[in-house]
Amino acid sequence: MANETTPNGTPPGPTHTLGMGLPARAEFKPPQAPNLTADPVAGAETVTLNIDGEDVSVRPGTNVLEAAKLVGKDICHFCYHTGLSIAASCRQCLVQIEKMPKLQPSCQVAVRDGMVVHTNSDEVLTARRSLLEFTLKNHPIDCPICDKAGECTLQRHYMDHDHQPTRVDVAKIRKAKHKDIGREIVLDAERCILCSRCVRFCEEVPGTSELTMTFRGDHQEIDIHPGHRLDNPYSLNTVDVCPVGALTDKDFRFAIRTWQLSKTDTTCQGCGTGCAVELHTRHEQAYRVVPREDAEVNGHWMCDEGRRTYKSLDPSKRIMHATVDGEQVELQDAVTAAAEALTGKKVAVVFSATATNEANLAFAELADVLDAERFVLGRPMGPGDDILRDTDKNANSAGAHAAAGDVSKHEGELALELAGRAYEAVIILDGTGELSEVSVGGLRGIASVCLADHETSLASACKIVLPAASWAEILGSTTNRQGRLRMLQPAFRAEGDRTHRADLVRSLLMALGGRKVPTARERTAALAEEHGHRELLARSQQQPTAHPTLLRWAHTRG
Amino acid sequence: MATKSSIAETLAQTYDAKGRQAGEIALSPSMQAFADLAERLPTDEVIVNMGPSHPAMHGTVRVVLRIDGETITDADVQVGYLHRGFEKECESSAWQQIFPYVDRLNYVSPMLNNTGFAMAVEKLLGIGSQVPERAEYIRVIAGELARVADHLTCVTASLAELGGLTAFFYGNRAREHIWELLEDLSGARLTHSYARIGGVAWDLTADFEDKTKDKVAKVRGFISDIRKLVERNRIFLDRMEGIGAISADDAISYGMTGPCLRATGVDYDVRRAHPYSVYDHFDFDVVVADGGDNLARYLVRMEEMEQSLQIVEQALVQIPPGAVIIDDPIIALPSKREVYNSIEGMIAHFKLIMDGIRVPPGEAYAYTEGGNGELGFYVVSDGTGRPYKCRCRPPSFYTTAAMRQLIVGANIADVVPIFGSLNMIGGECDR
Amino acid sequence: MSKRALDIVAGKAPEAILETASYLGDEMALVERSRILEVLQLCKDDPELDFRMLTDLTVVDWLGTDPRFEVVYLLYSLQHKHRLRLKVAVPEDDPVIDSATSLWMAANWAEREAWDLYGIKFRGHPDLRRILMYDEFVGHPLRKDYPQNGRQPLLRRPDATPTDDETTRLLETSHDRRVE
Repeated sequence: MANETTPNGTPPGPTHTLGMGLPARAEFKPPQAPNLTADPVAGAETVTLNIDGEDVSVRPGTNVLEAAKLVGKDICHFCYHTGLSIAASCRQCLVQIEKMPKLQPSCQVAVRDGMVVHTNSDEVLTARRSLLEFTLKNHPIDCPICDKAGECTLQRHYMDHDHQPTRVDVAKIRKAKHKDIGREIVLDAERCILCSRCVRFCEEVPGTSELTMTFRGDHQEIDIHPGHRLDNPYSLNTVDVCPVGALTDKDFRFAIRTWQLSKTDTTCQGCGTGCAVELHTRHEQAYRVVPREDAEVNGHWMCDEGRRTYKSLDPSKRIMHATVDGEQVELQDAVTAAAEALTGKKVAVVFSATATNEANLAFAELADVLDAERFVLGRPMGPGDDILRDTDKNANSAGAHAAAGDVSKHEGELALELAGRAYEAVIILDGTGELSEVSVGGLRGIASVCLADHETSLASACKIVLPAASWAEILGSTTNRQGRLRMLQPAFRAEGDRTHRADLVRSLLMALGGRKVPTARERTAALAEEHGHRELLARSQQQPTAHPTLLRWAHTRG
Repeated sequence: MATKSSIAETLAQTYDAKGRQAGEIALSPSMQAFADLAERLPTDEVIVNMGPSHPAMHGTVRVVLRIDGETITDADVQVGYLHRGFEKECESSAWQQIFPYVDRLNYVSPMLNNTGFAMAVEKLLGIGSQVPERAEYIRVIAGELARVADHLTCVTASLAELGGLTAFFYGNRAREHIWELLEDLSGARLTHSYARIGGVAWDLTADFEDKTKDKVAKVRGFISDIRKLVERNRIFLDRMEGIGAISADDAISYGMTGPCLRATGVDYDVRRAHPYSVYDHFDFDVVVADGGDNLARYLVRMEEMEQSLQIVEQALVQIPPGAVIIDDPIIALPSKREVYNSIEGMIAHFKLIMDGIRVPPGEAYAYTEGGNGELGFYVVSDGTGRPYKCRCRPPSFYTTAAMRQLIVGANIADVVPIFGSLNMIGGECDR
Repeated sequence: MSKRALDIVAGKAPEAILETASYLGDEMALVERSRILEVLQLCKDDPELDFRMLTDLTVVDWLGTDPRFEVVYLLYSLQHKHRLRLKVAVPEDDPVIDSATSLWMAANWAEREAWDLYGIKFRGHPDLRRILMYDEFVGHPLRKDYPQNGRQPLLRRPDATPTDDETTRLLETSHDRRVE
């Protein structure tokens, strides 16, 4: 049954499978980064070395580059990535280590006691400049049309370390331009600097190895194996790891320039894993979702489906005002009408596995007041695997079930009972669930209230629609499949009458009984405190503002 | 019956037997009764509004006057009608994007604003001594020409408001000469955006020197024509001498600088007191007058124009050849040839425009002699490519603050020449 | 030159000066908020300092730190030709500081501007009202949490005739409604 806890401690989720015949949910372990972070563990053995005159103690086995990060020195590199194996092919991270005759790649050399490292000596600076010159000598002058401009590592390293004019006076080598290599990816072989991060990624994380290096010397390029396509469900991570614009996202191609975007740290709503992501927006339009590093949940990666969740934030489909029987009314009037419609009747209260913890908890109070029958609704299951994707495509199943309590009824039962006229009124927390035609048909004739954030068939079938703010407009929390609290932050201001679902339910509760009901922000603060989520606690205690950071000044990518 | 001669006789008298003043006509009995009645009517203090839509309140200023007859008993000078949020805009623009904004501060002498702001950022970057000398000379030439334009505007506009329209037209013609020169140099007559951080945008045109010499002579001609028209004119002297006087102590307390302060006898000129750029290479006088009234301010400005033209002539002789902008690719944009033909030039251009020049975190206050006084820029940087705060110390803001003291006790008709001689530039005062 | 002035001030008011610094040739001192008037008086009256001109008075908003605001006084002496920058830290929940209008007349308008744009109250100011913004303006625009293109409530004269639907629709759909 839904309430049993599985042996490894993960909370229960919906067990119905809608007949898709999928296997039971795999045990989830976040992807492990192969390169150790340098922070020494208390009490354990450490190694002390001297970097540019400063002593630092690190965990044994770390490389010099990670150790230098600890003292605030960002040694420029291309091919090294914390989440991938070490290639040491770009040689950009060369440093001078005493007692070693040649310059050493700091990403590969492991620390040893008493090592003395110089990251800024003349020899190192000359080497750095020369390597950048080599990398740039065949690089096409594509910045004006390249999507990566603004977050490009090559641009950043040139400005920080090189800034010499060119010495090339011959034509550059031509390679394949805008080659379609996959469902989501476009390859531009001329821009590629042959760091091999994408090749290593495809080998190590999804394990599919579609990409490879071909030819040699000046003519070397990245290419897809003949007859194959870059179609694995994690392919868009190659776009993130690529330091230049060689691999680009088809969906994002020419959509917008990166410095016009503002970023908001939030959580993916695609499935129960709840990867930490950044939502990139400009004004009221969302443009993409990229992963943030979270060692305990998603490492450095996220799946392709999760990246497409920003499309649900279409501003033209947003519901701005409350409607009763299709006519726009004031929000307070709609709330009063909803309260009247639900009083003294047999009510079905439908929780949502896609709504936040705060909304579901408020709904639980509502269900108590109305003494109603509880259901939990969500999106149907989908394909999953043991890397990141969860078969449960709802971000907050755990939270919804925790709030709803001992309930086993889902879409199928709701449809049957509605068709059988078992209820006189129904209130649905999130109109984005999928109800079959039978259920929607069963809504006709009874009082139905829906808290919807954009237009769906379910929302249009309900009598009273209250405008809810979507996941990108609120401060809130969801609980992922590990039981961790995940944070949602607002990237847009909620326009019109759109309000946090928990606050809408609060006004409904106050219209019904007028008790002291906590606001959404208070609930968030309480949850954050309970789970020890410091950032969410700090955000919930500040004044409400949507302040995404402009990428242009944040210098966080590239 | 009053004949022509009897009126003339009456007018010629200074004081008649009854102690009435010259020009007072003997009235008929009914008219006399009417005049006596009018004298006995109580005069309330009336509140009269001047501006902001007023031909003499240029720069848009509203002055609410409380008057008793013709005398002003109290005044409230309300500025802010031209406030455009300069500081707020600066906080979200890259450093080099601010040049068009500073142009529009003191829009009658924009080059001085450009230079002031560039100096503040160069101070923060620590490249103040690396700006090429030729660039400094060019800044001085353009700046002094702008100063002449500023003073011409102030003087001739206030003369026009007094009724001396001819001087206004002469001044406009002289300003046209200056604007033609600056248009040749920068492409725009008024809002040049010609200075860059580390120098100026591009070099002088080939015939600039000849044209300038020619036009300087013409401008001198116009200035002398204006002086000849005005300085012996009874009306002009009556309306300017002794009107709007301020003491040196009061002026200093108000934070006044520039021509308004020098008209009170204090010889503070930033170019002489704290020489910046290449001003110590020139031989010029600091013009000081006594009295602090409208006439003193007028005389200071007229003579300063002559000094500025002398500086321009000296600079044209002394200007060395060389580069016009610092040779540092992370501060100055690379040449277009490099940008379009090499990836290094393209990247440098791209990042400088998009990310802005990375100015190290810190703060600096750099001050220059603007058209109205000490024009200072207090900039605070947080290490990114945009200012954390870019404050303009507006000289005309502090000058206009003194206006209330100057007009209280004066007549309504004196407001116009006083305000005109203070040279309140709305763009700078309100920012 | 200014270094000497800074030393004199630090010597004569040691408890009031919390920190001194010199950066790029500018001398500055951090002054304690309750003693600022005393320090300013000293700067103005002492013959060795003789800061007879208040060149500028402005505020820096360090949003996210406590105390949030920093009131900056730029002083200049015409006689000695030295400059000094005095800074006072003012917290967000109590943005009050003593007014310098009794010392320099320039402080009158400068403090009005600081009130208008940043919301710092000056105790003892004879006429603390908005100077650059209009009277009915809501908020303090140069604060870092005021958005760059923020909207203000529309003002209507009470005797104005109500607009028709077409005009209302045009008003609502015009303008740039987006907020950074």
